[in-house]
Amino acid sequence: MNFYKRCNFIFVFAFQVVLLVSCVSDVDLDRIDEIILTPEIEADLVFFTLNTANFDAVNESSMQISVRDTTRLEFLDDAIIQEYLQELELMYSVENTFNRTLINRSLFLDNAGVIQYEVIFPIAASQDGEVVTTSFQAVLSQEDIQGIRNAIQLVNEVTLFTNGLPYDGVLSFQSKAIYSLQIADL
Amino acid sequence: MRVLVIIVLLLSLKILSAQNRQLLYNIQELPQTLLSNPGSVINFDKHIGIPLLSGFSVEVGSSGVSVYDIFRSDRNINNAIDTAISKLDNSDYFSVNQQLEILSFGWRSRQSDIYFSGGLYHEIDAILYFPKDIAVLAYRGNVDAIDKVFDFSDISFAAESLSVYHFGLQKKLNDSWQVGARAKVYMSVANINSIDNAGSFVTRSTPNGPNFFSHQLRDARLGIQTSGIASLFDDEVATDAREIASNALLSKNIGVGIDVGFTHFINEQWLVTGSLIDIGFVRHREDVASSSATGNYETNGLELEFPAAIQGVNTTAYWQELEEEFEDAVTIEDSLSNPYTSWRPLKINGSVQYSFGEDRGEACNCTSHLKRSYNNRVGAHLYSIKRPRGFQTALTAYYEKQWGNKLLSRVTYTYDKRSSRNVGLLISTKINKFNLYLAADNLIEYTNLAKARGASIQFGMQLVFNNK
Repeated sequence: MNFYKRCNFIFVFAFQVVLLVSCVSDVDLDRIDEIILTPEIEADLVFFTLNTANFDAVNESSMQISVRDTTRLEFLDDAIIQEYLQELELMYSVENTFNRTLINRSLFLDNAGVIQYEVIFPIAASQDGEVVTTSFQAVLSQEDIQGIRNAIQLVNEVTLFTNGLPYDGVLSFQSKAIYSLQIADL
Repeated sequence: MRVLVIIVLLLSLKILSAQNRQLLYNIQELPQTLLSNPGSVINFDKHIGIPLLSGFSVEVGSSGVSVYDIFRSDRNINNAIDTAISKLDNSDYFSVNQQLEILSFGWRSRQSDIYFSGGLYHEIDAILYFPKDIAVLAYRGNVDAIDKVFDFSDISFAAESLSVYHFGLQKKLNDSWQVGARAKVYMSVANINSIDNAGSFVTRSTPNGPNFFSHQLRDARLGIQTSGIASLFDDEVATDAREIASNALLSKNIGVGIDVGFTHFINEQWLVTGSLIDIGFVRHREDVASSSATGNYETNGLELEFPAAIQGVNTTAYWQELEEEFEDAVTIEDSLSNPYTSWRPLKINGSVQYSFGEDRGEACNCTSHLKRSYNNRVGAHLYSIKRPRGFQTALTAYYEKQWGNKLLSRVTYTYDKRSSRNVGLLISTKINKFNLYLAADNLIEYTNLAKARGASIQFGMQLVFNNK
């Protein structure tokens, strides 16, 4: 074997060795099926401000006055809620200067108007016109979340217990939700 | 030399990775060297490629993670993805490039001593930058990112499939300079790009606002353009393989371009080369589609107004109003008729080479303009490609040895963002007129390619002839 043939052999052999030892190992491409996205989305829900005039406008019993508003929440019918929602927290913060106790009810209704999930919490009264902040948090169970999935409307109702006495003040209501999603089968 | 130094200074500001032909650049024995520098030195007088086999190259790369990093069998894949998202930034990218020479030929004119060459090749090129902010938002959400601005400019990708007809010439000007140029006609088969996106999304905490947060879409400007793709998804338009093949040979989405290059002989042993490849564009007119979204939007959620008149008897259309506000604020446009222009990714090559080890047993090859023949060459090669986010650059050192007139080898070491231990090897052999070459890089990673952040392989075969 002359010099050139030896060189030729060496390099071709070296290349073959490289190609032979080349491999893909210690990986499992089937794991792509195990990919799960788990984003947690924090988003505002509803907010409003009520003052004395809002309650004055309601022709109800003088002992307690309720104001309510209803809206459809079309996003509850989206795949995000219907398929991917795993956990849900609702958080409320209410600043109140009314010198009376109030109660907030957030009702999630289905298309037929049947209550699927309900959040009720009292709003602390102000003693001397100072702003009193009430915070409330609801961590929903799986059963509650199923109720949310069935719902499409939200009724928010605030009841002011006047006890027949004069009332005056402002109520600022804030709410948000944390949606914990689990998105698989990408 | 000064030209090379200036190029190095300009491009070394940001050493990144790139699709590269470092194993074929400045190889005097291979016609493929003319595709990366039309003014390159060659030592043959005629060549004709074996159709479809004269040149094939494929390169796959990722600048930040490897397949092993994500799919390793001993770790939960979701933890691996989470780690990768933390590690990657928006300058990291994934790229694929493939070239297949369909026709290749060339000859030296006896009268003018100009080497003419031409051919046809097909290329697929794609790059996707890692959309860091969008990935964080999609994978983790915004709970831990209140007040963080998610930037839409992170979305940037481009991909194209096209055929290139080319014809070039190479000429010696004098004993010191040799130049070359190549004209190209591009036939686009398919193109998709989404670059120059802008705007942001942020969830601001608003302690003094009406609600907990303000969700803000700021100066959003998102767009995507395609050609040759929309009809594939249109049930009313029958697109078969023959039509796609037809577009590969004669498309209505046509572009033109040029390559230029030079070799400067400092003396018999030192030379400097440089080239600009794919200075060109494609105009897309047929089967185009584009979509865009622009605007600003801000919301605090749904504001209930408690209208006294209805008091819960009917619903108030707050959600519908919010959707309408969004649609008014953010303009979404789709078009099937807007032509557009895509620029080819410009490639820049520069090199300096020193030859040594005079071959006293071989006759002078006068077509190379070198009066003497040397068996060994060492050099440095700088390669840069213009991508949507700027230049990606790689630096290569090489040693090349001619083993008689039958065998040539080149060993390379390439440094770029993907790897600091990229060793490549080229073997080119010539049996009578038949030339065969095989090259691959990232050889150290071949024991487990899954751990490599990039790998390329090139091979081809052709007939090369010498007049003397």
